[in-house]
Amino acid sequence: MEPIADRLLQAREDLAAVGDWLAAEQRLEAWQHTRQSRSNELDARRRQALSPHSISDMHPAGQTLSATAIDVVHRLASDSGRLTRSWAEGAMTELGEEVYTELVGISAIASVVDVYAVAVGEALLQLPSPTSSSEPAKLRPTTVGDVGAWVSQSVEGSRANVSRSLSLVPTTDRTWRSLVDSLYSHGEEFYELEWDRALNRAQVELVAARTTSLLECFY
Amino acid sequence: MAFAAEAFGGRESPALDKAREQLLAIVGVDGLRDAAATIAVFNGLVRVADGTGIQLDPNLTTASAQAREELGLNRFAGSANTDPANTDPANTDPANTEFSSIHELFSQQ
Repeated sequence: MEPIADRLLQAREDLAAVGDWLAAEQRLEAWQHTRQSRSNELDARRRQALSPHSISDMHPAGQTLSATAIDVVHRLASDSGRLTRSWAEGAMTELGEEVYTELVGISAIASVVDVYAVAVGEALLQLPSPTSSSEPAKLRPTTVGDVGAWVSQSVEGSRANVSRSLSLVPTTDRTWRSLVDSLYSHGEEFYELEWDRALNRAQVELVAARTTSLLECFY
Repeated sequence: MAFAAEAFGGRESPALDKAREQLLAIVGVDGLRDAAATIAVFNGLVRVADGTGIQLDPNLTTASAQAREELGLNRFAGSANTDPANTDPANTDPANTEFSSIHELFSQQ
């Protein structure tokens, strides 16, 4: 199994490269805003409000991302448990379904990299410079469709919904799935009830349940 | 659990430093890294699940019905994405699940 540190560094490099629908500069700006949301005043106010929709203020546009894209990143990073379908559909009307989905993936990957560093007491990885100036190919996979989620997902096979959630953006999906495999599921070991790790499976699942409960995630 | 409670938000704090030291003393460096990796990856999984609005898979909708009720999980906003009637008939028989309630699960220890 690939060491966690190597996988996190690879994820960092992946976010510095061109994506499916976003350029490298845009992906890195999304990571920067995911990181900033931890101390952002507007995000804190929105998180504390009875309803996030009661705060009408918006984040300004970034250097490479629109105000809507920046807002998507901040809401994902700071209060994802209270996102709604109508809000997501509004964002997708402006951004497009594919860009929205790629932003979800980048925010998730960036969260993993940064939360791990904070948890173990290490310095946050420095955001890299873009490694590509290429334009994204913007090719929509032909194997995606409506499976009941807010965004299109793979209709092939019988994968769990969570494992195909980013299948609309394959480049980001590969990075995401590699992270999950290295930090949690470990390939075929996932199907075993006993894990040969420093923490046993029950301990890992309890930590996972506590984390997702604190973040109020239904899934 | 204290470590998860302090680390899940990804913010440095004296309370997190203390929880980290306490966990380190009990499970060692590798255990600490396992716990941190789990907290980190589920931070990401939450963003993906909430951001894409995925539904519970039918078999999970069936198998988790009682636990969701007992733990109050149906009050989470994301529950709106799942139709509780979208179940897997093969999983409606309690005999098909290892435990019939969350209480039974935790009373096995």
